[in-house]
Amino acid sequence: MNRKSQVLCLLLGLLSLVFLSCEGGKDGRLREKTESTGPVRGGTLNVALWVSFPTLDWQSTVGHPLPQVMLQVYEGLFGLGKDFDPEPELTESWAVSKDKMTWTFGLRKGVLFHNGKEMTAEDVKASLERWKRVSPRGVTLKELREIEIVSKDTVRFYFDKPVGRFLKLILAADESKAVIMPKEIAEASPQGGALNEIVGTGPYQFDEYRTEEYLRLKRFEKYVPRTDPPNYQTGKKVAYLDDIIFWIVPEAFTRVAGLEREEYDVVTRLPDSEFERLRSAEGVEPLVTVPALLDYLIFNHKKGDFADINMRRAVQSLVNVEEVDRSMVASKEFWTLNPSIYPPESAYNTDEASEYYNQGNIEKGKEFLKKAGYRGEKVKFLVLREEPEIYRASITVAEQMKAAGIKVDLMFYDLATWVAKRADPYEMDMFITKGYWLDPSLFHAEFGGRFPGWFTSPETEEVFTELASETDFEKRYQLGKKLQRLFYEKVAFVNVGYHYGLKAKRTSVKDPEGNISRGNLTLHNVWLDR
Amino acid sequence: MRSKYIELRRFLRNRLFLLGLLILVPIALVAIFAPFIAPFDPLDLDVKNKFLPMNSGHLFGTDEFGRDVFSRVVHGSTISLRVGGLTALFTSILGIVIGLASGYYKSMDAVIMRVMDGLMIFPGLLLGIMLMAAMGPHEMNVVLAMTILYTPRIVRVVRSSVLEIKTMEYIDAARVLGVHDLRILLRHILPNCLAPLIVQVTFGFAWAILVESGLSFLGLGTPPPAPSWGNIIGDGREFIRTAPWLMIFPGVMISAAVLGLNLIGDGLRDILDPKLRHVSSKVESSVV
Repeated sequence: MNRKSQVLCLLLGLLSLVFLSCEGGKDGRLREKTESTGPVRGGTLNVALWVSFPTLDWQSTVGHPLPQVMLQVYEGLFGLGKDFDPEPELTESWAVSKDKMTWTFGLRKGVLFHNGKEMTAEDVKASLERWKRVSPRGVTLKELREIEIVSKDTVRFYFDKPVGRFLKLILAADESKAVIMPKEIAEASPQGGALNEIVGTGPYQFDEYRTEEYLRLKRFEKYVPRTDPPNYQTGKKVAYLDDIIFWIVPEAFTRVAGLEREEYDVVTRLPDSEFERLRSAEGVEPLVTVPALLDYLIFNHKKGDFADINMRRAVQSLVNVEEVDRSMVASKEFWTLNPSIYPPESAYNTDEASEYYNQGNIEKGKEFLKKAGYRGEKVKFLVLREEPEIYRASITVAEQMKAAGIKVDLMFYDLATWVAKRADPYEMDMFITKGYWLDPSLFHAEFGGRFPGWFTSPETEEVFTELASETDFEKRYQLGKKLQRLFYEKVAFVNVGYHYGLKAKRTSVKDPEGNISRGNLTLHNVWLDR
Repeated sequence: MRSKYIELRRFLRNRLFLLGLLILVPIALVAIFAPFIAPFDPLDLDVKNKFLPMNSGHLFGTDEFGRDVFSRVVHGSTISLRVGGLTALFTSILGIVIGLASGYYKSMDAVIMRVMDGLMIFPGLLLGIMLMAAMGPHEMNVVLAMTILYTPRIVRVVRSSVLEIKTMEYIDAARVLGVHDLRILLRHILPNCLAPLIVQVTFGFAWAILVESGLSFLGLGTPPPAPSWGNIIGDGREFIRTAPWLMIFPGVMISAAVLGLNLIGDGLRDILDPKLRHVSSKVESSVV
């Protein structure tokens, strides 16, 4: 190449650069082009959470917001996939005996813990035995007789009764997840809520926690990913980020302002009234969280007025769900009327027994009160202050109850006190909480007589037993319908509404899998493009 | 007759006092006649009309439950003035009793004052939060907590007056005549402590309104859904950008009430201070 053509090339190159940068300056297309070049490694992701952690022991708590953090740190035998179905995470293969009483799991080989140790069947056995003891969900697996170590990477579960799909579901569930930790740690921390060390197998590892301030994770350099394509919580996971810092920011307004000031990249739990504004704001992206959350009113079935079914029926008949929904969230996009106990996103969603739903019939409520012989005793309604939706739903339901002549004593508590009070049958008559159950058998944890409210009945127990071993979807669907009818007829709880949560992220946070908008945050395969 | 007229003139000539009165009297009237002034029930839900901005039907708009903010603010003044007033009443009763005892009887003084010092160590709001967390949110608990918090200040004021007055010759004279201690305290000492006490109680009133709002804002004061000003602001802070009227109006009311009471307190101090009184009566006499 001679000198002339060299100069020409240089000139052309310069020209094209100028041209491109002009174009980029005009409408930012250049930026998008560089974005499409692919994932970027590095950077610190700042996440704002809405409340602090009562404990860091995920196995022992169904409390939020721990899963948002620990989903990056820990893994279980199964994780939730894109359709909220259990998909293999630390397992490679599994087999069920014909009588469904023996399950064998082949584990992934070469998986390392954050402390450098290789995961083996021994760790799985120790972790799951701890989980079975300390987890509110683990104790529902009472039929699990023994976990046997077959080889270094094979474990076998022996059950007293046939167990079906339920096993995979319960091992994959986000709340008090059956995570795998090194055997030494599992055995050194036998008590729930008191874990000595946070060591898992996830793509990020625990770094530092300052109470009420922040929790920092850093990339686990020796993470061994699966080879199958990314699938929400499982599949191939890549840790692009150097660190993730979870800030505790209780004030919703501060979280929004922090997002707009680029202080936070991802913020959780926003009031939906911010949706419209965030949608038009530059550099941020609001995310509607699926699945819908069921807000449900739990009664004390053990002690007090609501042990009487007529009292519960009174409340069931007088609740006007639409009014509760409208007071709970600001805009129509964020609430929905649905009689089912399974969210609209679940395959089990059904309108069975919908005649009991959303009646808003004060007169009928009064009749049931008369039948129950209610004499104006004060009803203790516990309200959680930190959750604005629950807080507002409680106030609305209380007003509706007052209209029928029930004397309601609204008692407002912070999370820790609320959790303690609701567990005391003498301190609680009712409270509202929220959650979602994508499968009927998962209801057993809350409505099997152990969870506050202490609802249980022979008929529902029978359905749970059948569900535990049934694998055919059509039959499970029918059982799910039956369970819904039983819950409504016995007024195990009252469905007071469905609402969607709102999160938001900066547009510089790249999340091609849509992991951030699903349920709890999963931050693998997420990168920063600043 | 004439002296009473001069007394009244003395009050009305004080601009601060007058301005304070001009602010506070309307608020007090609103508080007393709240049920007649408020067009809606402050607890009535109407979720279809939530977040309505200010309009002719809803002067201050509606909140997240569709409740009328004007009605809530009006009823809120009743709660705030009731809590403030009760706190002022209880603190003055307790403050007078303890202050008189501790100022008059040397034997009790050391013990009582150390207890009061102990209470005063804590920052007010912090101790208030602690007390409310222990007792649970209830309007009477707020009054109780604030009484505990504010009594030491009243006690100190009363005690220092008593210490000064009890060395006066007329007290010695009464004692020599064999007048009972209780009579000396109530007839001869108490009336002479009243001036600084009234000023301090007025400030206490304002302080109580502020602290009650603060505690309610934090969710530890008057329990929702009661429309206390602090509650309205606390519930509204989530919507400050979409529905700012939820915070503005109760905020303005709190500021006005506290400002009014503080102005009255300042004015009273000027009026009741004997040194200033001397000056003003001189002026008065020259005019007459």
